Amino acid sequence: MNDIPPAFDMFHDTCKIEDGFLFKDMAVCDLGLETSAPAYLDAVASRIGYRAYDIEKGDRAGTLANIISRGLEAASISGIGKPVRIDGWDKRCVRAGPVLVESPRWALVVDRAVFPHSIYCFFLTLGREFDRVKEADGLFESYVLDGLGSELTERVADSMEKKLRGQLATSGLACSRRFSPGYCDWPLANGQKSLSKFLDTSSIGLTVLSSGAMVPAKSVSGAMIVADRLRILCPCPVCPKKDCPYRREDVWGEYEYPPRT
Amino acid sequence: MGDEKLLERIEDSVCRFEKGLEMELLPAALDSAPAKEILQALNMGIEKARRLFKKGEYALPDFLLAIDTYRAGVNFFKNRVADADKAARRVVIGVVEGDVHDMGKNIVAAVLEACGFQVTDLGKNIPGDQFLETIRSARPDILALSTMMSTTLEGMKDIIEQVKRDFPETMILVGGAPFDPDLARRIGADGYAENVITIPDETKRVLTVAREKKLLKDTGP
Ligand code: SF4
Repeated sequence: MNDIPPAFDMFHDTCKIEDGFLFKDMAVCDLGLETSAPAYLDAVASRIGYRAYDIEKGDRAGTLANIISRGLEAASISGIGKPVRIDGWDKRCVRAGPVLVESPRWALVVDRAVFPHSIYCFFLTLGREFDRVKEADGLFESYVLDGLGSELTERVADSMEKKLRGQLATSGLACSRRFSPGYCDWPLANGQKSLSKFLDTSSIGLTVLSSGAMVPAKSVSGAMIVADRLRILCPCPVCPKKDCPYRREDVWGEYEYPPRT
Repeated sequence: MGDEKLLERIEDSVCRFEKGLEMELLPAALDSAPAKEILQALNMGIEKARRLFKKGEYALPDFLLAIDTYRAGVNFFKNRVADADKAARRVVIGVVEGDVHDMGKNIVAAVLEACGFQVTDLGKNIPGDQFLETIRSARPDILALSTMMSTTLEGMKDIIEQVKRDFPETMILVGGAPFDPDLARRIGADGYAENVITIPDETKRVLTVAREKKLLKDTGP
C-alpha cells in the first residue's frame, strides 16, 4: 500500500490514491494555481499589514505586484505524500506505522469516524530558489516575499487537499481537513520527526531539523484522516479553545461527511 | 536651494521613502553641507517615520520602506564619514539554532541600526558557540536572540546562562512568537522585544539598567 511509483504526479491525475504522490520543481502554473500577481495582491497586502485603503495610495499596488511576480517566478514547487494505515488509537494519540499523531483533539476526529483506515501524510515546499530570492537586499521586498511565500504555501496545500478530497470521494472515501505538527495540540518536533520518518523528504530537497523547522523555510507538512465517513472534519466544532486564531468555521459541525442521502 | 531646504528635503525623502535619494539629493547636498549634518537629516527622517508608525499612521511595510531609504542614504556615507559608528552601542543579533525564520530578526536588526546602534547580524540557525565566540571578539553591549519556535527555547536558555556567566556585562534581549514578558524573564533575559514599535525603547531601558548596575560606560544612545 505504501510504495510510491517512481514518477507519480498527483497534479496530473495519473495516480491511484493509495500510491501517494511525488512531484518536483513545478511552476505555479503547472499546479493550476493563479499565475498573475493581482490574484495575490490583496491576500499578500493583508498578510504584511496593509489595510485595504493603504494599497490604493501612490503606486503601492504596482510595487507590490512587481515583487509578487518575481516571487511567483522563483517558486519551484515540490511535494511528496502518501497514506499509511491506522494501527490504532486512544484518547491521546493515533498510531499509523511510523507515524504517531500525539494529539487528543485529532484522536477524537478518528474516534468519531466510521472505519478510519489511514492517515495521508505530506510535505510541500516552494524550493530553495524562493528562499534565496527572499533574502533580498531591501527589507520591504524581503517582507513582501515572506508574505507571498506564506500565502503561496497555503494555496499549494489547499489545492493538494482539494484534489485529494476529490480523488478520495470517487473511491467513496471521506478525508478530514489537513492538520500540521505545531498546531492544535500536536507537538511540533515529535510530529515532524514522525512524518519525516515515514516520507523521504530528501527526494524533494527538503530537510527537517530536529527542532521541527524545515529548510527551505517556505514549506508545509501535515496529514489528513481518511475514513469511510467522518462525523467531524476537524476538531474545531467540539474544541473548547474559543479564541483560537486557527479555528475553522467552514466545517461540517456535528454532521456526517459525506452527508447521508 | 539653500542648505536648510535641502536637508529638510532629505529628511522628508526618508520619511516618505522616495526613491533615488542616494543618486540625486545626497550627492547634491554633499556640495553644500557637511556630511555629519546630512546624516543628521537622514536620522531625523527615519525618526519621523518611526513616530508615524508608532501612531498607526504608517503600516509596518511603509516603515520598512523608510528604513530601506534610510539605509541607502547611510550606505552612501559609509566611506565618507570616518568612524561615524565608533561611539554607537553594539548589538549582536541572530536566530538561535534550530530555527530558520529570520524575518522578525531582520526587521529588528534594521530598526536598531536606524536608531543608531551598531548591529552585527549573525543570521539564522546559529549555534550557541558562534554567539559566544562573537561576544568574545565583538564585546557587544547587547545580545539579541530571536526564535519563532518553542522547540528551540531550551537551547536559547543554555546560551543565556553561558552569556550571563561568562559575559555578565552583556545585556540580553529576546523576541519571537513564543515570548511574553513572563517567559522572557523566566528564561533569564534582561529585556523582551514585543514588537518593532517597542524595540528601541526596550533596548534603551535595558541599557539604562546596565548603566545603573555599572555594567556600561556612560556613552552612546
Ligand atoms: S479551535 Fe484551534 S485548537 Fe481547537 S481544534 Fe480548531 S484549530 Fe485546533
